[in-house]
Amino acid sequence: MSRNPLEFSLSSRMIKPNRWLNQDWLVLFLIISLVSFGLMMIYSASGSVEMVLRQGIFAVTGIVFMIYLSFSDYQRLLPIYLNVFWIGIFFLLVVLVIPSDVSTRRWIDLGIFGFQPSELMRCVLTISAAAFLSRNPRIIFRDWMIVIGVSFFSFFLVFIQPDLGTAIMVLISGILPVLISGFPVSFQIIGIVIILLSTPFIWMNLLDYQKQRVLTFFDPNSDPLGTGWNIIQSQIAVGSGSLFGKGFLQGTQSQLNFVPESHTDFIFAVVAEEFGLFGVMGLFLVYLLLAFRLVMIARNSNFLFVKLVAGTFIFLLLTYVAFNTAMVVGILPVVGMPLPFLSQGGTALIINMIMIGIILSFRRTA
Amino acid sequence: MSHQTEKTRELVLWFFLPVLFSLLFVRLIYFQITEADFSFDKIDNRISQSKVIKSSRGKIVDRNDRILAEDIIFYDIGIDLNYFSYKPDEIKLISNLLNIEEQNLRERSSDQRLKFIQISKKVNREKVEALKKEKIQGLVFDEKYYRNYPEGEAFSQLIGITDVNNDGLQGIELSFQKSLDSSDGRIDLKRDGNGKVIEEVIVPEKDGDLIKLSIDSDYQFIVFDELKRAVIENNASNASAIMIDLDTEEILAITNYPSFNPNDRKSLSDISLVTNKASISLMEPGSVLKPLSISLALDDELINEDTLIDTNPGWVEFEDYRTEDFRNYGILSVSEVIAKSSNVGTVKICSQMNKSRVISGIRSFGIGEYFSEMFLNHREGFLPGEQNISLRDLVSLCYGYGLQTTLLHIAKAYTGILNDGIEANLKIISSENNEIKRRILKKETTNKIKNILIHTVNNGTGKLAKVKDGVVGGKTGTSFISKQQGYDEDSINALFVGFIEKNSERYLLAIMVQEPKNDVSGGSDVAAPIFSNVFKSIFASS
Repeated sequence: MSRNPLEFSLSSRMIKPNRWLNQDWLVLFLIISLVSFGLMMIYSASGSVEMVLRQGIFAVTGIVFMIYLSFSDYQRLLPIYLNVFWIGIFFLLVVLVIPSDVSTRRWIDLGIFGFQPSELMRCVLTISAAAFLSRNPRIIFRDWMIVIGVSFFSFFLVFIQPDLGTAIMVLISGILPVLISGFPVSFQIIGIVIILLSTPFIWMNLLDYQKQRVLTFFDPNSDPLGTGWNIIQSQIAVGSGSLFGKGFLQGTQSQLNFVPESHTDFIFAVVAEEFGLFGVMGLFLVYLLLAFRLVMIARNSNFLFVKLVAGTFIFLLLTYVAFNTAMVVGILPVVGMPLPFLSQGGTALIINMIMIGIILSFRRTA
Repeated sequence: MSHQTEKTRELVLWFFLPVLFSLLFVRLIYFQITEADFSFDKIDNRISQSKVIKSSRGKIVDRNDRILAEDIIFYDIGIDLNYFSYKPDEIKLISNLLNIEEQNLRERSSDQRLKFIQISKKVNREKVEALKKEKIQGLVFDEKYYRNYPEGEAFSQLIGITDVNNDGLQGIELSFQKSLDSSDGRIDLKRDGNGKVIEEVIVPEKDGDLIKLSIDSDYQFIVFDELKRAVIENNASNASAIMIDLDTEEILAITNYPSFNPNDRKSLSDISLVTNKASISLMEPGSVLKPLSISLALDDELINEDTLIDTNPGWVEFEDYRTEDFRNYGILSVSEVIAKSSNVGTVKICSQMNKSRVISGIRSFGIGEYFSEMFLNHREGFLPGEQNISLRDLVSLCYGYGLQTTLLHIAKAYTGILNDGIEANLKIISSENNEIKRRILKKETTNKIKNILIHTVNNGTGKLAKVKDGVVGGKTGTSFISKQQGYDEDSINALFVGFIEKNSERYLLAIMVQEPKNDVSGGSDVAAPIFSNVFKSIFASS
């Protein structure tokens, strides 16, 4: 590599004494831009100032966490990181145990806001897995199997909530450190075969509404007023945005509540309707720029832990973006996957910002 | 982990995201460029809904507010086959109530290709209520306004008919289309995704205006009945009549026989029955024109009513053309020329007048003219110009040949004469008319003509038109119908135009019976009796 991209920012090598200036401002700027844009979109989709305020409080909290962690020394925190997944497991068990008046148990009601343990799990599983796999200079096979075991256990706990989308993401966030850390290809292939063979079994264990979502994905018009409604309406919203969009607060599909969940999982439909193809491309560009910037941080680190956490997070970030938008435009079935930094939802927002903060801390110690 | 394996793994991991993003990109271009218009349409369909507020076409009433045409709600009934039970007893019930063949209904409803079938149209409210009580699944009732003509065939050519869109096709329905026409209202709703109405725009419906005709339905029925009787008795092809109130110049009756039932168009086999022959059918008027042409000579004082005309020997040759009378009347006064309807006398009087006076004089009565102010479909007919008429044609014009006109024109001309020589302005709707009218004849002349017409009924050809206790005057006319081979002596129009004064009421009645096939002489024995019968009935009933 002829030129280190990090040199574009104020690098520790250039200015050492001032720790405030020794920061990746571009990443912070991108994150704050995304979150602000998200707040606008939540307002457009819901028309609720209260919802924007709540999300705004989460955003500010997240930013505080992010900046705080970005200044921390991750090496000193490694022992904590190694065990932090227990907290995730604990809350996942709590959410299953506490009584709920709805059929799904995804939330812990903390009075003023709800807390979603599965989102926390996604974060802490990666961190603990990375810490666990990088604790010795050489990874032994048993370590991988332990991580894989814990990941599937976590997956199971989320799956029975039930929340298939997040469960898959939790699984990926545990398995990715394994794959990145050099899990043998032959075993990877064996793993894929096992997953393929178990598909019928998984299908049988899906709940009816989950099956219905997958089925309607293949033919949204088969049930236009039921499950297909989301897909059809969001596709209409996206299509009617055309090249330049209808303008902020002008999207009829989302303004008139034709797109359900338009402030959460389907917020991309609002963006596409109001800002058109160009707006959507701009949004993608911001995500890619963010990912690229984070990749550079991982590349420049010599520590396996950094590579594992950053690699997994970047991969998950882009996967969320891709899966969420693919779901909105009907390429993938509807699974509950929010659009990072934009969708309404406090836990996911704060967790994402914590992850960014941890990654930024690598940069300082790199 | 070597640097190389790390790179490879990174490549593998980064492989599927670009693929997914490219897919996304293609999908977005597909939606946002190719499918954009389609999405717009979809949104419009979802959000906007329109409901029609039905409006009704204006009513037509007679002078006494009797309804002649109105919109009535009927129902078109269909079956939505998705919800229909096909139960035999339900099929039987429907077919019984709606008079449909059970077998037919069963066959149509079992057609697999159809989702909906129309089973009956224009069903009245009672039957619909009865059907609704049975709570049969799948029956669809579509409320519709249908035009209804309660007074039936006596009025059908005058009132006319409407088309499938309820727009006027003929008659008053057509000539007053603008006023009668209604426009449906609309409720435009915008709904949000929860079905909540967020915007409501109401465009109110506009019902059509009421049209009140000058027609008196009682008189119309009487005239119609008499025409019907005359057509049947004389084995004629058809008959028409127009009755006018001479004081107001309003048309009180205008009707034809045969006619058709406007409420049952399926029975209308002959489309010519739709035309209002009284104002549209052209004919050569024959002798009924003589009072008009002779009045011009009287008005110019070329003659007076007592001037003697030698009609010997019953014929006259003028410009190499021979004109004959029915018989040799000898020497006749001008009154007698009209009373006995002498063609020879008329030729002799007419030959003394100049061309332009005759043509412009007859035209001044309205013959050959189109009346733009009269809301009644009519044809202007044909009156030759003075440049292209020979002297021979001019004299035959004086006794009613060589021109084409309608019964309406004749009625208007006589109304002008009988109203002291002021041009008549016939009206089909009651209205004040303050326009300054032209004088066409001196008052003295019209008095003379009136007396001659009374004389004609008392002593001349119009004897059968007499009405007890009434002063009746009039003129008969018998004209041969011009066919391709020339005039056919067996094919005639029998006319009578007359007036009656009784109890300070003054009416004019113009009658035409076409092609009576019995052995009759014409106006005097076919048309004149109708006049008498009509007024006998009218005065008997009042």
